[in-house]
Amino acid sequence: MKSLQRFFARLSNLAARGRAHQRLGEEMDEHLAQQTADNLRAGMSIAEARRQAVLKFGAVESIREEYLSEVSLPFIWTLLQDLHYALRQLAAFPGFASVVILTIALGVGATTAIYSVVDAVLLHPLPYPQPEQLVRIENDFPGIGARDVFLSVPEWKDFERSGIFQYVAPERSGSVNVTGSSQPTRIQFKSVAANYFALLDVKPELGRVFDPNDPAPGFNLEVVIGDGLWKRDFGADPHILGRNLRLDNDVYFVVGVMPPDFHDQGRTTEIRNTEIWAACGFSSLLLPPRTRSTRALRTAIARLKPGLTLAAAQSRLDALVVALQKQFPADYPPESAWSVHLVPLGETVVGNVRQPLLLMMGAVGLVLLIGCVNVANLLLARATARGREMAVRQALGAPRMQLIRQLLTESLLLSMLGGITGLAILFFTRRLLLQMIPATLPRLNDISINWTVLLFALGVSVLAGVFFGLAQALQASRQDPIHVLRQEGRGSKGSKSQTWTLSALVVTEFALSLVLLIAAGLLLHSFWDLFKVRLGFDPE
Amino acid sequence: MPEKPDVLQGTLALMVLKTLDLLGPLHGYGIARRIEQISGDLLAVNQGTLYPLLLKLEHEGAIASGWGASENNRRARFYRLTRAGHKQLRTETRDWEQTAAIIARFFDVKGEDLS
Repeated sequence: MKSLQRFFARLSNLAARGRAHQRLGEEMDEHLAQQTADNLRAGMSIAEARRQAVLKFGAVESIREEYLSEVSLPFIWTLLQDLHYALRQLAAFPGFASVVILTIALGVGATTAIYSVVDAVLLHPLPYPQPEQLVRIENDFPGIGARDVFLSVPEWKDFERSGIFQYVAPERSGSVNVTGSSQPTRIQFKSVAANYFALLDVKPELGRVFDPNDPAPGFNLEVVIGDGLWKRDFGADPHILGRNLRLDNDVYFVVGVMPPDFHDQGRTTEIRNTEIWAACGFSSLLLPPRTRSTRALRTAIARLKPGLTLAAAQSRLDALVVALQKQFPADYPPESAWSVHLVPLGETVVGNVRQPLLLMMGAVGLVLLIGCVNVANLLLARATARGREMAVRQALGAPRMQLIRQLLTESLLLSMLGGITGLAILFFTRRLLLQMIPATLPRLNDISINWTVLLFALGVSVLAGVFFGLAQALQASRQDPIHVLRQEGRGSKGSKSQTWTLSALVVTEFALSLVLLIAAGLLLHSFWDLFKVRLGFDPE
Repeated sequence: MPEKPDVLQGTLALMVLKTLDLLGPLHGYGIARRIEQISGDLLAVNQGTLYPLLLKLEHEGAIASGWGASENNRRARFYRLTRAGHKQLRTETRDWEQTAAIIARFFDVKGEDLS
């Protein structure tokens, strides 16, 4: 508490250094005057009284230093001083500085670019509220070698009643011919349970979504359309609600339009690009019969009850499955070993892009690392040139810590400038870069340079700066000024330990490049394998 | 001339607080002078070191300062104890007395007491 108070007092004094100087001066004048007066009264001569007073006061410079360091926060002053000096150093060698900054810019820019993709695709795969509650229900019969089979309507109803889920929504995807708009088109279509949008917890931009309690057993002739379709085929008509749309042969009417940032979930790009949704009870007489073994529901997603973890939900579901098996032995013979799995919905969306993305991330990380090693090399080479300067400063009494701090400030400044340059390049080329990403990537439209990405870039820059600054700083802290001064005076080359560090860096760089080469080769190899996958027919 | 003992770190602050408590608002020189007098000239306070300490105490809120006129009618900065300073003085006095009592007991112990 007390030290906090002191900290704020000193912080507020940051600008008031000059005033503090003056205050101490006044105090000292006053003090010495009184002491001199007392000494005079004790019978000393004027000169002696003054001398004794000054003697008694003590070493003025060290007191002033202590006083000023108490006035404000000394490390901020030294930091500003270091920064000032570092900037002068950079300005003195602009060629060197620009090479280093560009190298770091390349590394940080590439890493941040890939990270922004990872952030959108892997870390935030589902653009819906409370995505951790969303799961996909997977129906397995491992006993007869059947995985991820369809769901039947009674099973769906059982799951809904189980108390584990807030909503369970089966869905079926396909495409339909849409007529009734400006021109007939073929559009990706999904028939979903009426609670689908309530489950995802998303709101329409116009009109309404389906009523989750809609009792209609079949299709209730309402559709919700996507923003893209609305703008493309209906010219963003504000009176779209209630308008008729002919899907294949049936007439539906539009009740709602989803906002532009809504993207459907699903395992393929086509499904994720769904633009028409119709509510369906999956139970009408026209649809397949509602027995347990009539499995017509392709996929089902669900939202867990709040506060229920995935593991807890899974164990309750397992109990339910066992009970149902006992109740309907004809539908679930023991040898089929029926089981139901809950898979986080995010995983099914991300699916097969996880590995290539992580590999890419590793590759750009290596590029950054190689850049850092290069820069460390350059800095060391320059440290050899600056050895004399450092030795002289050390000989004049600069503490080792101060030299190290100075060198670290310089390298951090370099890496920060590099990071900012990298971000700037990324910012101005982001449209171009986004076009290079294959359109099949999920969440492609949500890749952006947001705060997390900026924070990542900052962190990477700082780490890089510390990394390549450390070699130089360690080098400087080890050197013996007398030795250096003597050697440099005779114009000889750097010391043995310097040569050793340099060669160690070259070896590291070579090793890293080799790893990168191998990783790139593996990546290409797996892509090549993908190209060679047999289609099962002759495409020619 | 025998060396006068240096003032222990931390005890100087306590002395400053106690002096201000006894004598009311004082300027820096006055404080230095009183400490010397009270300690019977046994302590050598390098008087300059008082000023960084006064500033530190002021930052901590134990004392406050303002301009006033000294005895010989010069402008001088006067320091006075704040409410928080009074409190700090009380707790530090108690701590100090406790420590002193413990040390005194150690010195009082004779060999036969422990056998």
